[in-house]
Formats: sequence, C-alpha cells, structure tokens
Amino acid sequence: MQVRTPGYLAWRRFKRNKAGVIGLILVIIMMSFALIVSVTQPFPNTSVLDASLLPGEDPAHLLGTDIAGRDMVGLLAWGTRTSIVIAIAAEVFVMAISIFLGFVAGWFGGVLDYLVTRVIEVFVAIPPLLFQPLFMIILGATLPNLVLALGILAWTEPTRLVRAQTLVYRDREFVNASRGLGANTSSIATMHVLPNIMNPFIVSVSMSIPAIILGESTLSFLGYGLSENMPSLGKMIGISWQYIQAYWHMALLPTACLSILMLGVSLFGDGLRDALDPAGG
Amino acid sequence: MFFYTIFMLRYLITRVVGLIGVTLIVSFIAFMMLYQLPGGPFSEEKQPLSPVAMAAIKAKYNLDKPFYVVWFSWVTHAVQGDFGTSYQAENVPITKLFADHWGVSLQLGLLSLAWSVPLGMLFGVVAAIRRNQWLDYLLRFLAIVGTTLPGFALTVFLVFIFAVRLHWVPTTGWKPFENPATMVLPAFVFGLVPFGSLMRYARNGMLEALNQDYVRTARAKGLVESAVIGRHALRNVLIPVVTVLAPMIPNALTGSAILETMFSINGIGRYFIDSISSRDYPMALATAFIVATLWGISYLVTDLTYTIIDPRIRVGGR
Amino acid sequence: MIKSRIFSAVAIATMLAACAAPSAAPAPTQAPAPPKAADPTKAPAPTQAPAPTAAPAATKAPEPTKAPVADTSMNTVGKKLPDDAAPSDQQVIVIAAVPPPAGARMMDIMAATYNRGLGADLFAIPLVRLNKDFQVIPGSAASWSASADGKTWTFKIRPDLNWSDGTPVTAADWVASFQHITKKETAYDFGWYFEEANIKNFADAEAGKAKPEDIGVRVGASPKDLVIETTKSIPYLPMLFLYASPMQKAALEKSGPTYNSDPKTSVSAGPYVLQDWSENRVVVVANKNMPDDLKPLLNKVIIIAQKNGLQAYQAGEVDTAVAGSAADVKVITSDANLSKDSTQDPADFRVHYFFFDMSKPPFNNIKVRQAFAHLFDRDTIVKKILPLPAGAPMYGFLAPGFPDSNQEQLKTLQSYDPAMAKQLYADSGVKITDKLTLQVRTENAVEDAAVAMAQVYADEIKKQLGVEIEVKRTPQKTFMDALNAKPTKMDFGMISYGMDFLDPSNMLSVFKPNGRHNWNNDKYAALLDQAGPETDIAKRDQVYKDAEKLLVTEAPGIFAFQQFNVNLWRPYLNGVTFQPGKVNTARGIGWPGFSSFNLGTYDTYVTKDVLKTRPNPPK
Repeated sequence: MQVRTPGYLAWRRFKRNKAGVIGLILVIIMMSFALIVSVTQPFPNTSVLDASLLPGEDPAHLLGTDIAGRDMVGLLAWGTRTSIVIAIAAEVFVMAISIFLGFVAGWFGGVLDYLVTRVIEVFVAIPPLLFQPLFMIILGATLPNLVLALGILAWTEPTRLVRAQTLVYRDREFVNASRGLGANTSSIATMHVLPNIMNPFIVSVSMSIPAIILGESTLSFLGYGLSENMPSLGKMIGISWQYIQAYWHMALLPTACLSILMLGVSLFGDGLRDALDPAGG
Repeated sequence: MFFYTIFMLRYLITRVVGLIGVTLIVSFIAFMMLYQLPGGPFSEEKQPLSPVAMAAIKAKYNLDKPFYVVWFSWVTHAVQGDFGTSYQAENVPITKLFADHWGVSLQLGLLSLAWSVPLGMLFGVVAAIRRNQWLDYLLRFLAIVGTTLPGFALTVFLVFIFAVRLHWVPTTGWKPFENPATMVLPAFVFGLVPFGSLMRYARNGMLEALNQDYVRTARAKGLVESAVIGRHALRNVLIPVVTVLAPMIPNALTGSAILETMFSINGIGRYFIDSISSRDYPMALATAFIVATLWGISYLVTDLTYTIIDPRIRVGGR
Repeated sequence: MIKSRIFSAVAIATMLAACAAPSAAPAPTQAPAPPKAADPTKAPAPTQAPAPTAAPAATKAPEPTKAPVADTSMNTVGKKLPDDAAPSDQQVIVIAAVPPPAGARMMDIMAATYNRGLGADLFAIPLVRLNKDFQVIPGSAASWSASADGKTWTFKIRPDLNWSDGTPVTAADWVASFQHITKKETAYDFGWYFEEANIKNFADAEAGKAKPEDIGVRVGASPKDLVIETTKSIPYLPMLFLYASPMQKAALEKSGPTYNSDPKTSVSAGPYVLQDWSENRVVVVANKNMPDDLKPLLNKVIIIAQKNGLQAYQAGEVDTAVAGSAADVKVITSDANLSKDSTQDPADFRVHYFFFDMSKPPFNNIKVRQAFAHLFDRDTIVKKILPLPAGAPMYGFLAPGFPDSNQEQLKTLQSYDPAMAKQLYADSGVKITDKLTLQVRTENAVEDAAVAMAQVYADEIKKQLGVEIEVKRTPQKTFMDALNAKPTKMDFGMISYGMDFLDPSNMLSVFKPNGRHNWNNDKYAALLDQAGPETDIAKRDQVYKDAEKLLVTEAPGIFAFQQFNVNLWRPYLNGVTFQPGKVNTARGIGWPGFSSFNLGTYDTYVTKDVLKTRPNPPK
C-alpha cells in the first residue's frame, strides 16, 4: 500500500509530463557537470603555450582553451556553477520578499497595500541599466553585490503577481467561508491563498531565472560584471561574443551551456506547474 | 455609476500624485548614486589634472556642491522642461537630443512589438490547445530560446551569418525608408523576449482557463470548441498577458541600449550606457527621469486595465 | 624641450615643401607655402617645417610631368586627379569609425578633446600639420618666425585661406578659440597640453587669475598675423600647435562650440564641408573654397560609427576600418584577402605596461619590482596572445620607430628569468603575504588580450614567488580615479600610453615625478630636464636613452607590449600616404586619423581598380 500524499500525486503527475522530465534531467546534468568538475578540478590555470586551442586540437583539452590557455571544460563547469549560485541566491532573495510583501499588500490592503505598491512603483521605475552599473561601480564587483544588484530590481514583478492573485482569492467564497469559520490569517494564507497562487508564481519565478542570468550576462557584457577570477557563463559570453569568427568555441560553448541550463529550468518549471495544478491536468 | 466615476477620478488623482512622487524619489536616488561615482566628466589620461583645472570643472558641472542641493535645482528646472545640456554637447538642450533620437527608438520598439505581441499570444493559445503534442513542444522550445538566449549573443550570430557571410542585411544602421533591410535584425532580436514571454504566459493562462469549471461546463453543454475558447477562455488569458505586456511597453518605448549600441542605431537607448561610462550626469538623469515616468504611466494603465478585464479586482485598497 | 629631431626633420622637410606643394597644385596656384618657408624664420630652426621627407617627395615627383597632359580628370572641386584615379563620380569612400559617446557633438579639438563627435576635426586646419613621417609642415600658417629672445612668435596665416562662408580665416579665429579654452566656464580638460607651450597668462587665465582676453595669443600687425607670446623660449612650440585647429570666431559666438554638428551652422576652412550630420553617420564633401593644394582628392566621405569595423569591412559596407583585437587578428591572418588589405600601423606608438604604487611596501622596494619584472615572459606571451600585426613584445617604453627607441640594448633588463626573479625576491627581504589585486584598465580593442596576459602573468608570479594575485578589469573612469587619487588607490595595475607628439619627452614624462605614477625618481627627473632644452642632437638622444635605461632598470613599470592598429584598406585606395614612410611604414591615413591634421585626408583617392569590385559609388 502506498500512501497517496499530495506530494506523491504531484510527482506522478510530473512524471507523466515528458517535457518537464526532460527539463529536470537537463538541470541535473548541468548541475552535476558543474559540481563534479569544480569539485574534482581546481579552477583552470592559464597556460600560455596552449592559448586559443580549438576543440580537438589537443586531446588534453577536449573543448579547447580560451585566449589565456585555460581549459574550456573547467571554465564552463566553474562558470555554470557561478551562474547557478547567482540564480539561486537571487531567486531566494526575490521569492522571500515577493511572497511576503505581495501577500501582505493584497490581503490587508489599506495603508500596507498603499506602501508596498508605492515602493514597487519606485523600484519598477528605476531603470536597471542605470541602477545596476552604478550599484556595481560604487559598491565593487563582488558576488554578493551582484546578487543584490540583480535581486533588488527583480522582486517587483512576482510581488505584483502575488498581490494581484491574493486580491482575486481574498474575496472568493471558500476563503470567506474559512474566515467565517474563524481561521486566522496565516492559516488562510498558507491553506487557501498561497496554494492557489502558487502556479502563476512558479511560472513567474521559473521565468525570472533566465532573466536573472541574462541580467548578469548583460552587466558582464557592459563590463560591470564579476572580476576575472570569478567565472560565470554570462561573463564568458559577454567577453567572448566577439570571438565568434575566430574561435567559435569561446563564444558558442558558454552560450550553449547557458541555453541548456535555461531550457532545463524553464521546462522543469512548466512541468512543476502542471504537477502542482490542483485543478488537475 | 456616478459614484463609480467619482471614485475612479479620485483614484486617478491619487495615482498621478503618486507617480510624481515616485519620479522625484527615483531622480533623488539617481543623483545620490551618480555623485558617488569615481571619476567625472573630464579626462586625466596622462596625469592628474591640476587643482585649478579640476576646480573649474567641478564648478562648471556643479560637482562642488552637495548632491541634494543640485538635485533640488535640477528638479525646479526639470518641471519647467529644462533638463540642462549634455556634457558632450554644451549648448544643445537635452530635450533637443531626445526629440532628435526618440523617434528611432520608438520605431524599433513598436516594430518589435508589432510582430511579437500578436504572434506570441497566438502561438501561446495554439500551444495550449495542442498541449503536449509536437507543435506544443516546438513552440515552447521557440519561446524558451527567445527568452533565454542573450540578445547580444544572438545578435552576434545573426550578424555574422546574415550580414557578414550572406550579405542579406547590413551589419549596422537603421534606415526604415531608404533601406528597410536594416530593420530586420534589430526588430527581430528585440522582439524575441516579448514574444517568448507572452507565449508562455498566454499558454499558461489558456491552460488554466481550459481547466476552469465554467469552461468545462461550457464544453459539457456541448458548445463547439472554438466558441468555448473564444467566449470563455481568452479573457482569462488576458490578465497574465497584460501583466507581462505592461513592463514591455516602456521597455519598447525607450529602446534597447545594447542593441542600439551593437547596431549603431541612433536612438536614446544608448544614452543609458554611455552617459554612465562618460559620466554625463545630466544625460543620465534625464534618461532616468523619462524612463521612470514612462514606467509609472504604464503601470497605472495596467492597473486600470485589470479592473476592466476582471471586475473582481477592485481598484485601491479596502 | 624638443628641438633636435624636429630640427633635423625640418631642415629636410622645408625643402620638400617647396616642391611638394606646387606639385600637388599643378598650374596657376600661387603655391603660398614655399617662399615664406625660406624667409623670415630667424629664431631656432624648428619653425616652418614644411613638407615631407624623401619618400613622399619621390612619390609626388612624377605628378608634375603628368599634370599638363591630362586635365580631363578633375574632381568636383576642380582638383586634378592622378592618372590612375577612377572617374570623379567614384571619388567617394565610406569610413568605419569607433562610435563616440552618445550625445557627442563637439566637432573641434578646441571645443572638446576627449569626447569629440563623429567626423570631428575636418572643418579647419591647424597652424601646422604632420606628414607621414610625423614631421611638422605648414597648415593654416604658411610660415612662422620667432623673435630674437624666442618668446614672441608670429604665425602668418595663409592669405588665400577662407571659411566656406566666404569670410577670410584670420588670427582672430585663433584668438577666440584660445580664449574659449581658457575660459573658466569652458572647463577644458586638455589645457595641460597647451600649458606646455608656456603661453603668457594661459595658466593664470585657466585659474581665473587673469582674463582670457589677456593671454598671449593676439592679432598681430595684419589680421592674418597671429602672435603668440610665451614666458619661456620654447623652440619646439610650432610642433605643439598641431592641435591648434581654430573654430570660427563668428560661428562660435553665434552658435556655440557645437556649431559644426549641424550643416546649417557649420562653417569650414578645412578640406571638407559638412553635408549631413547625425551621431552615427556623418557625410562631408570636398570644400571648394580651399586653395588648390589644400583641396582633397575625394569628393565625398561618409563616416559611420561602427563598433566592429572588421565586420563592416567584410560585409562590404566600408572602404576602410581599423581592427586590432586578438580575435580580429586571427580572422585577418587566416584570410588571404584580408591579409593583403591589412597593414600594421604603429599609430600613436602605444605601449602597455604594468605599474606599481611605489610609495609603500612592497613595491617601494626596487628588488621586489625587479623580481616581478623578470617574470613576464613577453616573448612567449605576446606572440601567443596578441601576435603581429596587432602586437609585439616591448622591452622598454619607446617603441621601435619612435625617436631614441633603444629596444635591443634594453632587452636584458627586464628579461624573463625566474631564477633571477626568485633571487631578487629573496634578496629584497620582503615577503608578500596578502593577496594582491592587479587591475587592468579596459580601454580598447586589445582589452581582452591585455587581461589574458595579466592572468598568465599573475599565474606565473604565483608559481614562482608564491604571491596570490587577483586580476580585475576596471572601467576607464574608475581606474583613472583610483590611480590619480592622492594617495593612489591602486597597488598594481596595467595601463597603456600613446604619444601626443613624436618626441621622447612626451612618452618619458609619463613617469616623471608627480606625473601618472609615484616613482618620483630625482635622477630621472634631472635627466628629463637636462635633455629637453639640449640643442646638441646626439647628446640629447643619449640623455633620453640614459633616462629610459634608468626607467627600465628600476622597473617602476614592466613594459609588456606595443599595440598596433591593424588598418584595412580596399586595394583600390591610393595616395601619397599609401607609400611607406620612414617612421610609419603602414599604408594610408595613419595617426592621428582621418582629420585635417593628416595629409592622408587630402591625398587619398580611389583608383580605377574600383570598377572591378565597386561598380557603383556608395550613396
């Protein structure tokens, strides 16, 4: 006999979704690639004699090297690792803020809603391309600063979504009913409102992961990214796009890594959404 | 109805006042940050400038005063439509620079929305209807590629293939009338993000709608599929779509800084980046101000749209 | 002070001008330059170094013989085209230029120096110009002379020189321009350059201690006489006036310093007049009001802002572009046609180097610096990461071709030698335990190569000395702010410098006390002071060589590589400047680019070969 918990049911539903499973597999592949290589090998050293090798030119460097002679496999793994770390850190930041502020604003309304909405308006109105470079120049190009610079401007959308959806459910009959039955706010929030708004929220979060990484690569492209000892896929793309004609691997490989990672995250997010959809697929 | 109108009016006024406040706050933050930046609108390429030369420069550009003093005088001028002059063009008002260049950014933005919005929504709905069939997978793959590949990386590949190798389109430029081919790549790349996001939102919204009880009921009642979709489901698609579309509009209106730079397009988007790296404070502030205002307006419009599409969402608080 | 080189050059050049000028302007032109060149010049020789040296002369020589024969091929402003030139309607070229900052509308060097707009400096001719070999030749001034004490100079503006609105170009235009840059409100950040001329009251006016009207730049006996008064005798003063390219007094007063960014207000006394202006595309056409010898051969030039010049060139959109990144070089060298079209141009003899904060430990210790200096394996690194034609290893600060360059003799001073480095480090008694940060300035095409070299270097230092180094690329303004802070905020960095003018004093003064770096070596300062005014050329050269040797030995800088521009030219472009010069062997318009300062701007033309590949001229 198996216990049919909601989690188990969701997993069963998820398994049926081929795209979602593929997404999960892609994410697992990329994460294990990053993890295994970065744990077993140190960050690749420069080796000027091996500079700019194309894939296949030297068996010691399966995917070639960059212009300072660093092994591409190592760079990609370490870069993927940084990109994942940045994405996770920024998303945790964004999710925590958006669920809290969005629900509070939508549920309680009044002054709280007014305040949150105004703060959102301020943050939304800050042009990222002005704010993020300034932020990085002033505070310095470090990983925590980068996560902050990306996260600070990314929480507004999910917060608005949570708020809007909370507004929708706040006055729905079943919510009113449980309120009538004397349920307190936090239990209504966790029992009735949040599960219902989870799906669009997950979609929104899964869609903002690529946006975070794109934001990071855009900053790197503009020269405001991390320092040279901190690899990231965005940074590699930002630097190496001009090498497309001369050394295709330097431009294409990090782009491919990023795309696979993003494809995985997105498909997985979709699958998750379908699985968690209480209305059933 | 009368009370509703009064209510809406009051709501609108509150929001407009809020918008002005937001713009002021954003400009204040921008001032504060710009004044923290290392370097300034001068070159010390060979050696440090003499104290005298430095003093003259600081005095000229108001860098010798506290930022809030300068902010205040900036605001009083800005409300009269005077944003000062760019450091790169002393006697040309910034308003003139914007007037000269905004048109191009608008063209690029609107053109990219013109193809991406209808196609994105259409494909999203189609994908939802053909859920988990090969067409769905293909369209979703397209959407993901559109939203995940960095625009500049894609630009590099496309320019290399279609301009450098095939010579089908020029590498750079923007001449809608003389040479429409110049518009293809920038508009395509710029439209990919709205296209992909809209498609995913439209698909998700549509799926959710198709699972709603009333839609099922409609189906059960034997209504034809197209009628079910048209009458009941599409409205449900619109809410999330409006949510994603709203932030894209000011984005489209203010141009893509990176694409404009890469394609040498003469729009205002480039000012974002260049005004920071060249420490052109008036330019950076004017850009921030105008963009902030646009965002504010677009959000106001979105919220109003919400209330029209879904009356369950009430304007204002409780 | 400079003198020597310019003197010698001038002597030869003077004569050449005499033949060059008329040859370019065959028939009735009054050939203004030469006669004056010969006469009133008294003071130090340097003065009116008219035209080029041997090479250009030889190439020009054939022309006069053809001149009378063919007169069918004239361009739109009535300038005689060379025999092998394509018909006049084909005399149009498109130039890819690096995009200026957004909003840049200052089109004249005396309006703004560092952030000029696209297509700047074509609308007036400076007092003097440079030929291919960087020698001073007459520009707007036909001749010049100095008073007996060398403190009062008179530049005679060419009598036949008029603005495109018909008014004469007069000394008052320079007076207005110089007053403009000294005004406090202008806050000109290139003032330090003109301060080197020691013009009377110039620095005081900048400081607000004198009125701009009182500076030593005034109209002389005739409206065409420009008088410059200096506080010291500066024998090389004319050379500094390469950048004295005036704005028109009337236009400056009426429309402000951006008047040349709008065809309606633009007025030109340069080779071209403005036809169409936008921030990323500028169209200029030949100026018909110029004296014949100052008319260009090209009818029209279209300048477009292009971030990636090589791509535009490959796509067939432009006739010339500048490449030079590590990636560009790879593309060019692996393509036979591109290789043929490319030439290696020393441009401003830019040298990239590592430097230290020498005011405090560990780098106030000379042995530590020397230990670091012996760890940069430039022969391997540069050749591998930025090979020719884009880069070459440097063993000192003065690149080959630059006056007093002494590469061979300096080769051993900072040679790669890990054993010696370890020994020096041990001898220094210094133990670096903190992680160092090596900041690399982001600046131009070779940025990625420079960062890669810095990384390789950092790994080598770690391997040999056990010192951890983090490499960081830092944007220009942030970098310079940290470097120029008092005290400096940059312990270890990588930066470059390219000349402002072709004399060792210019490059070497980068390391002078209170200059860019805090080496503050008195002996070095004394050598520079000694060499400047030295009139004995051989002696002057020797002192500069000694100074550079001291510089390389004490290693306040570790010299890494010379950066070349890789210029791409369609095979159908030709001109006098396409012949190899003595200093710059590259083809075509070299440093300082397509501007009225440069003879290539006048003598470049499109040959008949164009019809094979470009049947229709660009629009």
